[in-house]
Amino acid sequence: MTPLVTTVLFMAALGSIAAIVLIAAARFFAVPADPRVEAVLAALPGVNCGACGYSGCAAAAAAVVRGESGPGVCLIGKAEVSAAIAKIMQQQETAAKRKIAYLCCSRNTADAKSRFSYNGPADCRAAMILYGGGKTCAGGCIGHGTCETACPVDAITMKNNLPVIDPARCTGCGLCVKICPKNIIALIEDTPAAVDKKRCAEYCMQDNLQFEVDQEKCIKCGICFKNCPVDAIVWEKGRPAFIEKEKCIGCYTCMRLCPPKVIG
Amino acid sequence: MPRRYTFNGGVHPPHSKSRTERLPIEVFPAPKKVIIPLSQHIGAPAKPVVKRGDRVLVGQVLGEPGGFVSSPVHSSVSGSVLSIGPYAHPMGRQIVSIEIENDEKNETIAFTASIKAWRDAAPQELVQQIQAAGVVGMGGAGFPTHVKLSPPSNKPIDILIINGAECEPFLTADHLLMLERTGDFIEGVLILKKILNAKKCFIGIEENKPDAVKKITSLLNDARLREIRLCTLIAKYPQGGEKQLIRAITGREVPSGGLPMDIGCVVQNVGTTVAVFDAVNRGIPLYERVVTVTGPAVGSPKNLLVRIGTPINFLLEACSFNQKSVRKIIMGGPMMGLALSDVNVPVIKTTSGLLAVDTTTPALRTYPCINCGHCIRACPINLVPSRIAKYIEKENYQAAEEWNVMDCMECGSCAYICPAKINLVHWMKLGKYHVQASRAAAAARK
Repeated sequence: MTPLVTTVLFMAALGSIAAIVLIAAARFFAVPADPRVEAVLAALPGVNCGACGYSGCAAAAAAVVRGESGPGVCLIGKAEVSAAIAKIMQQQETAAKRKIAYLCCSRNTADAKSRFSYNGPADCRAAMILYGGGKTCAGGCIGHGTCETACPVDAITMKNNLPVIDPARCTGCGLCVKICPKNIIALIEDTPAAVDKKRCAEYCMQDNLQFEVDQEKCIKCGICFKNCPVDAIVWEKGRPAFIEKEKCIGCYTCMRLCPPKVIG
Repeated sequence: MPRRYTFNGGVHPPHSKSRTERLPIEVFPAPKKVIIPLSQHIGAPAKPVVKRGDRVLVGQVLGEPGGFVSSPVHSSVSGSVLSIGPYAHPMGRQIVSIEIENDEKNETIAFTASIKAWRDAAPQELVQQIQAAGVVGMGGAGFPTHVKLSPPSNKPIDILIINGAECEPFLTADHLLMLERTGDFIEGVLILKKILNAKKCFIGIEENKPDAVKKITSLLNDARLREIRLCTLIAKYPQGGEKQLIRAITGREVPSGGLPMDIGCVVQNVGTTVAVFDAVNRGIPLYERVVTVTGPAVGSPKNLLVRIGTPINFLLEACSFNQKSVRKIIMGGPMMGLALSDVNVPVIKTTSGLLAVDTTTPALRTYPCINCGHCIRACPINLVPSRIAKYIEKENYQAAEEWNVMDCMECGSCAYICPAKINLVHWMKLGKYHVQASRAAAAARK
């Protein structure tokens, strides 16, 4: 036999042994996989944003198939994706409640009054450790755009040092909510009513605010007393409210809520 | 030539001390109103023991210590308590403070030294007296002195170091105190030495204060005090850092995360030493301190003996402060001081100086890091500031912790030397804040 024939025969034998081992392994160690996981994964957008609470789209797909989550698992995929998943899972379609990020401050650094000028690192988290940011208002946006950097889908743009959130792009992933050191970004339901309710600070433009209740015009409703975040307001049923200057932090909450608008 | 002591690293900022280093300490009259924060030290805040409307005398206790690592606070004027409530504090937050209206009578409580002769007293008695007088580290950190003076029995102290380096540019408060109260200062050193039963005692003074060195040397020679040795230190920042001073004088190194008492050392500041003398020998609590008011925006810089609780705008006015040209008011020195956002904050036990910077000092723009390594060479504790700052910027707090960000003492040498003017210390502070928060969270989970 020539060396050539020996080699060919040897390789053929080796190949057949390997094939037998592989076939056996495939038979005995097989893990049953649900084909629906693959299908659901294909239906998901695949950006791995994590907004659903699972670590990426693959985990979300597995959760849907396991029955932990419904077709509305994907927050950013909207009706299209939930319809597709419902079809794969042969379930009733349930749309996810869409949430968007919402900034509870409406005054940029040029408009709002500030206590001092800051020239440290342009990062809200760094600015926060120095007297909690420069604005006089306790809840004011610091405005260095840390949320803009954190946003994975470019839904936040800084305009005059105030983030503007594009509701069409926002996926409600909550990364900006987590990173904002002032805690003034909230996830709210994407309905006009909810949006209107939360807007703060129509008042921070006004100068010479005394934070006093007009004792004669007060209708004694007590709304300011119930909503003051620092309990700076003294009120009893049937008596006009009174703001304790030492405790007041100037957050404008009472002014915003006062029905007859007599706090100034 | 005598040996000149120093440490590795550090920077050489201009001393800028000539404005005030020859001016004697002036007594600043007690203001109409003082605001005394209940927290002027590291540790638990004091608990108030007076009520609104009470009449208090100079030196009367306003707040009892809230624990072992805490310190009492005393009234610095006589008058009535106007209010007790949150008030702006130089460290930034609102802290519960006691507001007292001065009745201009300046009546004091009877200052009696409970100890007649400190040389015969037991160390415990002396420590109690120091604690009752509310003495805290007056160099800036405000660590209660009685805690430093009561080391655990498994950590014997053999070296006492008195920190007269005053390495912060502009400040001259400790320098003047050493010149004007040399005798009291030396006696204070002897009291501390007795309490700690230290074998060796050193006074470290930077060589840019030759008059203080000369005066103390001659006094030590005259009194034949062989047990105290004066060390002349090379004028370099941060020579007055506790760990740097120990390193320069003894060659010992404080372990990472450790305290000087772990290697048998205790360091006390000059102001603290004089306060210890006052507390032990005269029974006077810590209610006033020397503050250097200086800077380009101050017309007539001064060293003032100020009552604790005096709002700083009173001091600035007294030193013809130029409101128009001021850019920044810093409490403390230019390297480690904190810019103030409010001039109504009071002077506290740790306020060594007020620095008013004018518009000729530019606000610096930050450029990207060029990896030159100047900060690494300048860091007196051998950290890698540039890398740690990058980790923190990218929120990798775990890596920052691995690179020992918690050992950073925020001396500012790296930020001073950085050619790109990166706010390295600010990033470090942020990183320390986050690492501390995550450690607290981990401890809470356990």
